[in-house]
Amino acid sequence: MPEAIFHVQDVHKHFNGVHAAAGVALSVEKGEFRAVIGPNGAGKSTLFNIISGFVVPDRGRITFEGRDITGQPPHRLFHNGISRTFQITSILAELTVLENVQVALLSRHRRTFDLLRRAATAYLDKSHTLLEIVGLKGLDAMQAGTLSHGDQKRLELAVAMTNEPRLLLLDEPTAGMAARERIESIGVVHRIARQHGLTVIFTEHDMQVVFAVADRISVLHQGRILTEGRPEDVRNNREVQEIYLGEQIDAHGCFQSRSL
Amino acid sequence: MIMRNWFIPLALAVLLLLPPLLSDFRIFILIQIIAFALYAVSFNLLLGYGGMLAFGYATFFGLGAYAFGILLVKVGAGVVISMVAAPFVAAAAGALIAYFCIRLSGIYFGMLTFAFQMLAYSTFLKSYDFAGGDGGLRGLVIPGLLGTPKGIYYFALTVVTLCLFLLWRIVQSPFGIVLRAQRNNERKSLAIGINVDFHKWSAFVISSFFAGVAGVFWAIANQSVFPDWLDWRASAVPIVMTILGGTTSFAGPILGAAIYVILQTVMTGFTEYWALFMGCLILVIVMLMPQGVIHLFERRHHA
Amino acid sequence: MLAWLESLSWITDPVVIARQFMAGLANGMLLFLVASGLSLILGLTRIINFAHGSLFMLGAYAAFSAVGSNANTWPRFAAMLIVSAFAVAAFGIAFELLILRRIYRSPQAFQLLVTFSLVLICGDAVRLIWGNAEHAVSELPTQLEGYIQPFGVTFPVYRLFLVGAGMAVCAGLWALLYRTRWGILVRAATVDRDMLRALGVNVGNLFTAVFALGAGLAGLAGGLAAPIVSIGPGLHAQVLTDAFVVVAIGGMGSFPGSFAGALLIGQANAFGILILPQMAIVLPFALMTVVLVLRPRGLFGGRE
Repeated sequence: MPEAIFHVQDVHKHFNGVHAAAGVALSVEKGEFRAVIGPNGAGKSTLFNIISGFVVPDRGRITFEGRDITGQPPHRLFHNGISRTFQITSILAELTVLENVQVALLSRHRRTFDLLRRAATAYLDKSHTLLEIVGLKGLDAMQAGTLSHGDQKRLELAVAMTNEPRLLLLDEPTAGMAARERIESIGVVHRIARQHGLTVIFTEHDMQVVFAVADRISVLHQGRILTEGRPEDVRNNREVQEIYLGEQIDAHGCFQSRSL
Repeated sequence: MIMRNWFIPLALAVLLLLPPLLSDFRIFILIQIIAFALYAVSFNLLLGYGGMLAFGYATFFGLGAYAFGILLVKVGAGVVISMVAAPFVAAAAGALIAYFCIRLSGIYFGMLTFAFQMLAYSTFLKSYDFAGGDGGLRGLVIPGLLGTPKGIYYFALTVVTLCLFLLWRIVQSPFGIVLRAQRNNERKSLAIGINVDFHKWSAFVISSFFAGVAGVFWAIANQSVFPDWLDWRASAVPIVMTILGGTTSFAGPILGAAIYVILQTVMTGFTEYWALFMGCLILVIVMLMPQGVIHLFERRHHA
Repeated sequence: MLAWLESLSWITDPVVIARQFMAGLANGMLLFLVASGLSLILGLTRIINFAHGSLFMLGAYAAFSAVGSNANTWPRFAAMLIVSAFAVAAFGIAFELLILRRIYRSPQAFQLLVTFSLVLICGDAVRLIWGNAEHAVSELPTQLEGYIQPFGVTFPVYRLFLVGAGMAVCAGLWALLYRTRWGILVRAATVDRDMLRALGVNVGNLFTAVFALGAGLAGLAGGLAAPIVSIGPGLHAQVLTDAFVVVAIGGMGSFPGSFAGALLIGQANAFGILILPQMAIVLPFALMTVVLVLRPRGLFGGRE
């Protein structure tokens, strides 16, 4: 029975009077592929920023592998085995594809203050391995900013794996993709996660994507977890249907959210 | 062209063999180019590589010069001690100033560096006892061979070449690529485990150290130090040199320094109103050649 | 140390305090005129105009150019002020249209260099046109000359006039910024530039107008200062640094901040020379440093 390695307990955050996180609690098991969904304004971004260290919660605790990581800055979390990607693809645009991966590897191996060796030849094998895993072989010398959107997302994934993460946080990993691409893309991520034993938490709007790969789904609403469970259970949950105000799931599998 | 294997050895050979052919005045110009090349490259470590624009960068150049002068004539420390210690004084100032400035970004970062510079300037301007006040420090004469124009030239050439080599290694190193990474995308750099603030602070300290070295040689070449070197107007010099030469390559600022020094020398010899010409020239170059003159020679550039 | 404490004996002398206070107030007003323009330009266009002191200097030279050393009738005096304000405003418009417009999207280092090259050009241009020697507008209308002695304290009349004129301009500026549609637009744009374009405002013209206003204010300050300073090529330097101190302390883009900051620095300079004659010039920069470290946005600066 896999144990829960990641816990969020009673996390609160206020922004200018908005209670963006109002007592969020969830637990994720090792190796799980967990989706966090919810209508716009539910607090997904805030929660994500809190668990990835970019926002410090006003109250609450976050523990990972038995250690309290509440309030730790992102760069420390990276060294503690947690990686994240961003909704708006975040890469080092002027560096090459290879350099994007190399710099993350250099950071992971704590060599960022090495002043005298050459960075260009660092971790070539490991970099190529990672790039191949995500399907970016042969693009080493390309400037990362010139890659297609999909390739940039792949690069982000490769970089997110440089620290051999035990927890991978993916913020809208299929954002900006065409419908068909999305299923394929999340499938790749799912496969990689299974192969490497990664625990994954991801946010998503596209329900087809969610149902395709999620082990469990947490539904966020007004800063709190409304319900949580296996995909079928969540789909049939009355409350969930209500908070999306009873819209149909559209042709693309997205909730048409006209929410508050 | 610059990075072809033959260029640097050729340039060095020329620089080594030139002095006997030149007048003392011309040698002085070369010394200035050498010192200012280091000044410009260290500034570009912050600007071109690190993405930090300091409005008050002359502080470190000036403090290096003043530390050398004060140690030499006020404290009576030997030439060697003064020369070696001075850049560390500049670096210490850099460490202190960067501590307060790094947490700020953009205009605020620049303004605070400006504030610190004016603080230093006004202090040194009025410190007659230990810094010579508005007259500055004079009589910084180095005895012996090293005090002659040719001596200073070869000494500066050696030390600055070494410093430039070190800076080259630094920008090629993991430290350097991390510096470029945080300039590209600070948030992403944090996400991949880089302590961005500490990194920027370290780059600032390294940069101010080498600016201090440049200041020392300028003091030696002039045999004096003047408070003007700490005035806000002096901070335009490294900016002019790096932009003229080009911030996206390592060698750009070196070329920019050479162009700036030669232009300024020619212009001051030509007319009393050289500032007018310099101002117009800067305008022209900034508007017409935004990538700097190095772009005419070298396509390759760092990220 | 004892000698220094003794030199502070003026603290109990209300005459000295009143006199210094008025001097500080007068200089503060001039500083406010310069700094408010700098702050407006900075707040709206994000351009740090190192040439702002040069605009002040041009105003002083324009005043001299208009009336020579003789402004002893009110019409001449008024003409002097009008010329200094409008000539520099016109110059500002030309500079903005020809050069500044092209670099709004350039890297900050470029913008710095452009304004700095203007410093170099103006510095030499005034020498070319008016020579190296220093000039002065030494004659004023009789009502503005001399001293008055309320309560036994001697004040130069012109200083009082400066305070009054400064307050008048301040009131006018306030009305412009807080009571006209244009002013509200400018203040809003300082906070959120993109919103302006969405509203269909011609941002280019707005930038030009604000730059002209800032330049005109600096020019006016130069004209007002012409009778009390030596008009020379070095005039721009101290004004520039003081203005920067004020803008940093008050908050970039903040109108009340420029006012408060200018008054503060005016007083700091006035009393600084009494408290610490040797190191008086350090005081403004020390204040600037402390404020920027503790409150980078300035005392009145809002959140970015």
